[in-house]
Amino acid sequence: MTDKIIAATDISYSYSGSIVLDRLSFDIYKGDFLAVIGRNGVGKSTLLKIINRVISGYKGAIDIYDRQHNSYSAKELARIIAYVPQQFNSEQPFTVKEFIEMSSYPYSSLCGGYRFYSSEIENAVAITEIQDLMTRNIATLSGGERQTVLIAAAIAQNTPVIMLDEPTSYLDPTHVDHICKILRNLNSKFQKTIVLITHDINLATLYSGRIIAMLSGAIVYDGDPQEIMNNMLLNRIYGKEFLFTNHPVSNAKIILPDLVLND
Amino acid sequence: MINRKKTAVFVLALVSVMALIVAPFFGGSANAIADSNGIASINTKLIMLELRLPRILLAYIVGAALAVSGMTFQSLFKNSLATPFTLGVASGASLGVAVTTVFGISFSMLFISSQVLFAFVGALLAVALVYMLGRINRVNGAATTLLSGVAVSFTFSSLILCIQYISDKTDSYRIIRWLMGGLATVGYSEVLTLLPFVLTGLVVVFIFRKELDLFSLGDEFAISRGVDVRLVQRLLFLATSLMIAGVVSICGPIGFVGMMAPHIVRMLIGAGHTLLFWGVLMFGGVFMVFCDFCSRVVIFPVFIPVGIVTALLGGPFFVWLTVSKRSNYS
Repeated sequence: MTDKIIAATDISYSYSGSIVLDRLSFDIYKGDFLAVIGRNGVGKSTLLKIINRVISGYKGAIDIYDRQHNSYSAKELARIIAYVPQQFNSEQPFTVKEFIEMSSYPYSSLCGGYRFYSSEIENAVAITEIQDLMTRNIATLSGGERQTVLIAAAIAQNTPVIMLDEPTSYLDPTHVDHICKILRNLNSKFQKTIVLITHDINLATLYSGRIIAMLSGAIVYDGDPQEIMNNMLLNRIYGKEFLFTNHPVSNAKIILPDLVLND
Repeated sequence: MINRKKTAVFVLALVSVMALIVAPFFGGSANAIADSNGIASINTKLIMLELRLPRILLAYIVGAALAVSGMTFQSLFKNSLATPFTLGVASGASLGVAVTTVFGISFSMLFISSQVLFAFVGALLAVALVYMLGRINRVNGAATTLLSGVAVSFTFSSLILCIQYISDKTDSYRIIRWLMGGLATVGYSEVLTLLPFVLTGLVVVFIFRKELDLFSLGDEFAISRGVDVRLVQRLLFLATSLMIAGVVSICGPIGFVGMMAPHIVRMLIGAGHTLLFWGVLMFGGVFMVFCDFCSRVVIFPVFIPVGIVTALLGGPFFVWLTVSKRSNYS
């Protein structure tokens, strides 16, 4: 039995006449912790949206468990991939508990209510440590709390793959650490396959096991996170030079912030 | 918290029953009230059973249909100002009915009158236009949708004016009177005509209550949970168009109920559509019975069209909703 979950071959996508994705090919395997990096607008989010069928009309082939992507029903796909979008309408007066219970939708019947799996919800709540938030209204949560709740909902969906679109953007360092810990835990302890889009190169190299770097809708690097940490590759991807140092604990190569001085 | 929400729904159910029982006893005719305390005359019985009761039943059904349609649109478009009225659906249905009135189109197909059929086509046309225009600009989807609705509404209203202008005085007056929205009934025929459309629409909306929960959080979020967004959206548009077409073809366009009812009930019992559906349905019904009562007694013996009463109450509510932070979910 193969460990390959997703096989994407020659994926191309155009929008309003401009090419967004240009013949992308890659595989995602069971247990991968894959980080997708690249500048704004290179097609990272589009790629995730295509895999999750938020966007249609692409060229190429996507197979999931050796079966054509489009042959899955929406619910079948949601039983394989839990997708955490960049934004959602959090102004609705749902409690956190109600919000997480909605994750059982892919397992529900047409006319029945949500098929409520208490063990999965309890598990998701325990992993993300959001017990205190359960009765809160989602509209009243802080950015970090909301993101953690979104991840808890994705865990409660009980899928082998979790895809996240910039889950740590705009969060304070405490919440970034908390979310990174949750994702690493899900990958190492629960064997979940994680696909993460991020602009934080350090986070990508420290936590992921594999990096895909995109440039102008194409993949320019697919491999070990540490091997991308050089200016030859990163300059090509981001169009700028970086300063590097070594992490004092893991000794992994990390990027130092630039010091911009006045002219 | 769940108990509080269930209690609110239970109270609304009680108020509904009370409203349906009590409302026929109140009206413009002093005789009816006086006689109801003693032995009812034949005339009073006739007024109560053949005029007031069907009128109140019709009011309840119309209110429920408009309120549930409003709830559905608000969740589908993620905007609390989205209703059949503001999105031009009522105007589309009205245009359909105006066409049948002026051109004398009268036939029946599968027990459905030409008036309902044309109203349905008009409603669907409006929904399709607004939906497609909203999808062009996905970045400002909600705002584009609302503005498209206003534009569609104005366009259809202008076409109705055009039809009125070319029609004779009798037809023109009929259209004007009917556009004010009214619940004038003689017997139960209107109730029985409307009921299948509303029931079908309500059943479809209730079946997709879980999907409405997810839609209200965003289309992308709904897709991520496994909702077949396009299919469900289309079925819900069909269901609401069916209800609006039925209501408009019988009572004319009645505004603001679809906006106020879901908003008030959402504040009472939260956003979960399983309870919200029942709350909105009953609140809409009771609210319309109340508006009908006002329309009959406020300046008796003149009966004000109920559409004017709902607009008088809804106008200030609309302004409050627009200026407050509650106007937009997205």
